[in-house]
Amino acid sequence: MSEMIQLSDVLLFGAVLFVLSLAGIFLNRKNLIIILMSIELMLLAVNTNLVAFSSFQGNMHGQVFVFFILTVAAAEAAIGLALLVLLFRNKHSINVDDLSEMKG
Amino acid sequence: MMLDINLTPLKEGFARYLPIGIVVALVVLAEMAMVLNPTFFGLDNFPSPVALSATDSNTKMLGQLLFTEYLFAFELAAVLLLLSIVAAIVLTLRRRHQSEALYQDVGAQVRVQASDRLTMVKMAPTVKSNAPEQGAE
Amino acid sequence: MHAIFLTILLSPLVGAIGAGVFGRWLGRTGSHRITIASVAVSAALSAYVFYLYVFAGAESYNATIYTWMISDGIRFEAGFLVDRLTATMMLVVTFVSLMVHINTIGYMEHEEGYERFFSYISLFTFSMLSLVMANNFLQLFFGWEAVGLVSYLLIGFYFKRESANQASLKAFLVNRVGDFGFLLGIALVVGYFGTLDYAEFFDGLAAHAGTSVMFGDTAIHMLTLMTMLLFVGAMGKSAQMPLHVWLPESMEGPTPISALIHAATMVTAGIFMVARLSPAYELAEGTLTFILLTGAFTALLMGLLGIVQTDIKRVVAYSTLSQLGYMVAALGVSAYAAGMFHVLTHAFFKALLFLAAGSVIIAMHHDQDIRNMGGLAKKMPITYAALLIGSLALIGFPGFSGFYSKDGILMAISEADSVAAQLAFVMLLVGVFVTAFYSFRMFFIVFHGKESDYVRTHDIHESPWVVTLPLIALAIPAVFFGGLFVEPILFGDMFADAITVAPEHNVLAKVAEHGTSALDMLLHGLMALPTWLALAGVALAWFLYIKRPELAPVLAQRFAGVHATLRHAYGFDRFNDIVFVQGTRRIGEFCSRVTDSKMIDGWVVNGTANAIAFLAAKGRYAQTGYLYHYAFVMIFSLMGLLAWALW
Repeated sequence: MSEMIQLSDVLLFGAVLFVLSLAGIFLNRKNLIIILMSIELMLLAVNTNLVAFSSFQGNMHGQVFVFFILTVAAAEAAIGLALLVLLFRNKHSINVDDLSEMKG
Repeated sequence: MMLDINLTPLKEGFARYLPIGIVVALVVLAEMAMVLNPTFFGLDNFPSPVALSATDSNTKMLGQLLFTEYLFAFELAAVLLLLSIVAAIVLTLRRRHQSEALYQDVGAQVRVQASDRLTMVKMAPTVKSNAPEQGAE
Repeated sequence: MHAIFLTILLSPLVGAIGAGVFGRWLGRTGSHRITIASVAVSAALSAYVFYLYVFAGAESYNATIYTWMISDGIRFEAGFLVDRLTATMMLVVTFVSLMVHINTIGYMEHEEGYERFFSYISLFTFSMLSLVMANNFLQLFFGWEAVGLVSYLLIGFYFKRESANQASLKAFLVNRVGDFGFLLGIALVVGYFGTLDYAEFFDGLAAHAGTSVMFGDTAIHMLTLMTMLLFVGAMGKSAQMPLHVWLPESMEGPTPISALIHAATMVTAGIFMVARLSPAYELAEGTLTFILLTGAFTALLMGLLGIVQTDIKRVVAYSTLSQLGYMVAALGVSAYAAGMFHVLTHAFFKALLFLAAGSVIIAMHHDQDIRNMGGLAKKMPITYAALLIGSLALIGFPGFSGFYSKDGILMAISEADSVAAQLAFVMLLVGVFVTAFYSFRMFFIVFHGKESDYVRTHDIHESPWVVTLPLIALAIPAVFFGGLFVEPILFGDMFADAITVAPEHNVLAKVAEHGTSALDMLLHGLMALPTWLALAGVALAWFLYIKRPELAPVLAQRFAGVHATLRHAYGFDRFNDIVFVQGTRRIGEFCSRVTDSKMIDGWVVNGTANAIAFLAAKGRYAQTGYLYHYAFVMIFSLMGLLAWALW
């Protein structure tokens, strides 16, 4: 039976995805695009968990929710990228360090 | 590339934060693994899902749920996506000034007549130096 | 009856409001007419009430006329308790007040604020009447405070004079000390008896005879504590040591009010209050002993001070202090009737003395120094006679009013058999000698002796009839009142319905064994020590100031230390100044400098602001504005939270 996929395997896969995106934020402290991508990846890691639980518990509702999360993530990504484009047009940079107008 | 940017400054500090980044990532992963291991989430607690029969498909079940129980939420999601599309367009749309060469007025292109483009002018052969007066008619 | 009492009480108030509020339109004559008329109405009705109660034997009247509020079952009311004691006090108050009103026309003739003055003395009459007619502690306290207030206003009547302002403030503050005790006493009454009404209070006394108040582990007899606190109030109002310091200063006020307030009526409020509450005092042995000694010390020590005074009013003021001591001492041996009797006779002869002194002051063009007087006898015969009668009554010359009351007190104290009473008796005997000496010292210096430069060079003449008429009117009771009333008051049952004396305390009953009629007392007095001591005092004064006037300064030099002590009034003022005034000022300074500026302003107010500014200055470094810093914080927190959850 050990060769069968366990729930914990899928969960650990989600965790690895999550930690990867975490490291992405941590290491790419300047590039806004990579930060956005990392955040998307985090969301996907969570989605993985939802799908896994849904499948192992025989409950379709979890997967339906993955749908909605993806929808929201898509909307978010669209607007985020649009903002990024605007930002670049006005500042000619996507460096996080340059976005410090709000600092007192 | 859509964004014409210098990538060098964006990568600075990468090497400097690499070790600590790896350490933090490993610690968090280890902590997660302590919970998400087979002791708690193995097959003993969560047996493998029952295989679906041949007539059933995952997509069908999902579709049934989405169009019945979650219909309202589904429609809302659609509106949300539309909203985000419009928002993204509005945000990124760039209006250029009339004077700019590349601007193209489709309506004017369609309305245009052949006569607007080219006017045939009959004119006498040029003999005198006061030709410009004649050419004005 | 009810209507009569109400008229007696409110009539002076109407006069006071009339002269006080409408004085500007009424003018000087109008003001004194309306106030004198209102007080005259009061006096006439009081005389009628006095007749009804004392001669026609009316039943004592006790009724509430107005309920202010009821709170937690305690009724706050105004009401009248009129029995023979009250009726007598009412008559004395209104009569003396009327005389003073008339006298004021002459005394204040050329003064500013004439209408205001009349308004004040009428207001005082109202306050005093509400005090004596009260049937509950609330009204007593109202009257108590109101007379204090009017007294303050009148001492500071010449408010343009610095010393008058100081004196009025001093009187007010010292009285405040006493009133605080008084208020605490009333609080105890309310706390333990749950009532402000006299009658209900008296009914509850038997049940509380053994009650104790616990202070930590110390049990204090409740009634002793309560009566003691009430007596502290009386000490302030009746100027007993050590709260006497305001009375000599109060002479800054115009002389008529010295006669009315600081001699005849207000200062006797304390004695009246103790007599009124005699059922409670009878149950508190400790308080009685304290009262006795306070009175005796005041009587002797304040009398001694009279010897060195040079201001004619101050001599009389110290004699008042000394006489108040006698009255209080009488209360201390449960001879309430004797104390009250002395209050009554004293009211007449002391008012007489003050008004006569006022007449002298008018003649001297408002100079009060007796060293500038002398040989006035021939120039002012009526004043001379009045002052002589007043002084004879004061020293207790046989036959005069003061003789009966003072002899009654002395005999009562000699019959009491405690050690304190024996000590008090000796002191009071010495006091009799001292009283005679200083009274006649003043008398001889002012009227006999050689004429001073001032008297020779100025036109000194008798005062107008408005001044002398009250003198004559007061001289009559000053002579005869004592003889007429000694038997019913001291030995009869005139005050029996108002004053309760425990049988074992009843010293007046023992005195009665020597005979109860005025004649008996007169004969006994002629052979007793006090009379001869008084005469010896007069003789000494005559010797020192008439026969050998050069001796007095020599003696003053010889006993310079004693003289200085007396001049400084035993240093009470210095002590109060150093300990209370400067002490308070130091505490105030300390509070202002250290507590307020440093602690409250420095630590609390500015400190809070500084601490917040400091924390904010440090905290702003946390808000870098860099996204990855916030991300770091989130990630590290996640790590920490996971670690904590897994622990």
